[in-house]
Amino acid sequence: MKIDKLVLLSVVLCAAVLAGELAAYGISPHGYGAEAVSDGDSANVTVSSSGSDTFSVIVADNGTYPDLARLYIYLDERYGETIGDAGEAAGLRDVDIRYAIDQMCRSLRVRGFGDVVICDDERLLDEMLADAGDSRSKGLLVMSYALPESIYSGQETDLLFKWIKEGGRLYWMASPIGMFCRTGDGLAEVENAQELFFGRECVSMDDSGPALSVIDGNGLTNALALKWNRTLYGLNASGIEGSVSMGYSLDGYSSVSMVPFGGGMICVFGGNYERYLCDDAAQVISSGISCYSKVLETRSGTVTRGTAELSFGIPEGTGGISVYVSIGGYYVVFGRCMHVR
Amino acid sequence: MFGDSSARISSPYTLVRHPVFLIAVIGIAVRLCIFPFVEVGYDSDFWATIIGNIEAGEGLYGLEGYYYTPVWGYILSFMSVLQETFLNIDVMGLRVPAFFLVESYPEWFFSSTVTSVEFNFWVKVPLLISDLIIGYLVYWLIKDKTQDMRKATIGFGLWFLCPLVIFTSSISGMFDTFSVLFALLCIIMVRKDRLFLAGILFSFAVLTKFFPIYLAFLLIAYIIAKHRGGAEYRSVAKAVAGVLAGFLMLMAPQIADGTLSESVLFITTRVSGEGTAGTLLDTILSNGAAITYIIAIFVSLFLAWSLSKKSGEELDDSFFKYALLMVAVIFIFPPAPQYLVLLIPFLAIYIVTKDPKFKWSWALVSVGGAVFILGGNFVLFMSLGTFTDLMPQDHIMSMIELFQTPAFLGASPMSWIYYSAGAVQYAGILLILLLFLKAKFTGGRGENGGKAARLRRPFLSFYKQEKV
Repeated sequence: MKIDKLVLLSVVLCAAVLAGELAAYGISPHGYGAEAVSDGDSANVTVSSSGSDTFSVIVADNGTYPDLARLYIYLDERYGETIGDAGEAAGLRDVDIRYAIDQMCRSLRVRGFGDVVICDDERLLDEMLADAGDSRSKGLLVMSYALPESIYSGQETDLLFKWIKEGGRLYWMASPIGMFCRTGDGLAEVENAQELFFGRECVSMDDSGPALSVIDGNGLTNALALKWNRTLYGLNASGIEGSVSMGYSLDGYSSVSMVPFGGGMICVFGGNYERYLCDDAAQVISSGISCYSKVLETRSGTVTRGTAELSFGIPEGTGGISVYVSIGGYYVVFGRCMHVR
Repeated sequence: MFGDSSARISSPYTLVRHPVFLIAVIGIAVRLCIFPFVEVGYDSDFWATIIGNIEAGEGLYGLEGYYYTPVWGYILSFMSVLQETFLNIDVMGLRVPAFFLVESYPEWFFSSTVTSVEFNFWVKVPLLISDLIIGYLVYWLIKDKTQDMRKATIGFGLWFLCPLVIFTSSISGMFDTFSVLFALLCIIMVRKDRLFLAGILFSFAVLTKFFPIYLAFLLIAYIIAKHRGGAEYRSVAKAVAGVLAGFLMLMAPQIADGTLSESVLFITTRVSGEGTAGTLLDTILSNGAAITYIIAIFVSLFLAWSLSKKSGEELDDSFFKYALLMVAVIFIFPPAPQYLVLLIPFLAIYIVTKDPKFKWSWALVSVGGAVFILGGNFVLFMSLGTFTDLMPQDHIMSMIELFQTPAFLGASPMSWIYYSAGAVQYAGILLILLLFLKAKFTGGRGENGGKAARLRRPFLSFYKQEKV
């Protein structure tokens, strides 16, 4: 039987598309992995990929600050009710907050961080109260603009501050940190929020476009492949003892800043919500890096359809050592934070 | 070296001596030269993002980055498998601080994420393959309709060497060519009476870019007219079954994981208006796309009704005429240049088989669209500046700034290029409609040639050797 060549061509083209569909949703040919083990004075890291990929490795000494084990993400169920007021006061952009949180969860999962709890007002209060005394391995990510007054009302005695001082990590993005709280009457503005969090005014309210300078002192901007170059709502952390900045800077403000707060840490991401910001936040959180971390070494390389082996020296007298591997460069396809000591 | 374009192609030897081969070689060479170095960074960053998301196990719509119906995503997925298996593209792109300033121009979608030359090259290879196959299909259709190899060769050239088509694939890296490819294959399968396959291909075309959906009523009318006498309903049912099968094959993952609404975002955002405003003019402007597409539905129904009354040779001729008219109507709302790629095959077929006057539309659309794409100016060279030593980054950035500086009447050179090129390509669309209207009111010139046309034919260059 003679086969019509155009029929054959049609079938082949459709089959190629369906093969792509199968690879995207069915039998994925893509595979990545990373392992790290310590043999005393060195950490041996292996990175594997089914394709050709660039990767980076960050080896950090976290001292006595414990690793992040669980992340709470606050879901403000009244987000839409007052975004108009908040937007007017602070230039916020309205986002679909549930979608944004879903994106963050997915981004964290790609990077190997799976212990995420999405909390509404009640659940967040319960979790933070349950953490009383030791919140050192817990983190809270706020992607909206106001916390409930049971947690934060603009007083130094608020549960939020207590929780951070006891070791918790507060990650804040896409709005001016602490500017609003949610009361029974609606949204309330906190007058002295910046003093409460940082002891001085240091949050950028100026949306003057992209930050043009790369912060490259600690090597984290490149190693984490940070992309989001906006400093609106970002911090000028210069002069704050123990602070760490990374990403990009404009007029002294940074796109990512971490500052110590009691026994815990506050990390602020600049800019309104965008997919790049989501990627960056997921990278920073998954990497386990805090302002108490000392970067021992960063290294990048390429792995092609196989495994790359690397060895890092660990100096004596270091504390908890973490190794964060991310594969894919600016298009992260895999991330894993491992603790070798 | 190259032989007569009317000669038959019967072997590889006759193929390489045929002008079709020369046209193909030139078209391929031009594309390959452009592929790695010239790119629209904003879009190619998304292609890399999609590949990254797929490789991360998030499918097309799990992580943000893909806003189209799924076919192009599946093609990227297929490419990613090939890249992963055979190629060494370790860096798909970089954030380049030297270009951060381009993100400060609020009116343009510029990105300083620059994709690598290797990535640019390989992600565009499928587009080249698609362009080439479409060229062959145009050639095949014209040859099938006219038995004239010379006309078929001209039709191939009008597609494959069309500047708009070349730049859409090789600079913009846009995938509209695949929508055209599946739409043409669908038409051919309808002509060949392979109706189930035609239905599948129709789904593939529409789920690449939705514009071919406006050919649906014409295709149904064509099937009904062709099978008049008892088999029309069974034939239409076969085609509809194919459409459903194609839809389910392509959309099954989105139906299963609940991301169907994300997958049709391109359609819903293009069709919905930005909002309503006070005046009638404001309402028209803000809902222009929706109004146009609704009107286009009525136009397509009318054309289909008209087509359903034809038969024989006239049916076939009218199908291509109405298809050209239909596609022109949907672009009355000013389109992005890459959308116009759908217009080119129908223009090419109509120019060489019916009315050479439409070559002016082809020229306006081609040149206007191509210049529009080039309006991206030095932004298009960011890969060149980042991954090669051929052009310094500071030179590229200073030239980008120059193109952004208000020059004449307060508008920047870039704005002037966009507005003037947009006007030219739009004139090309309007000219199609005007020529059809003129033919309608001057005695049907075009469809059957008309008396005046037949008299003038010997003077037209396209038909110098044609026996009238």
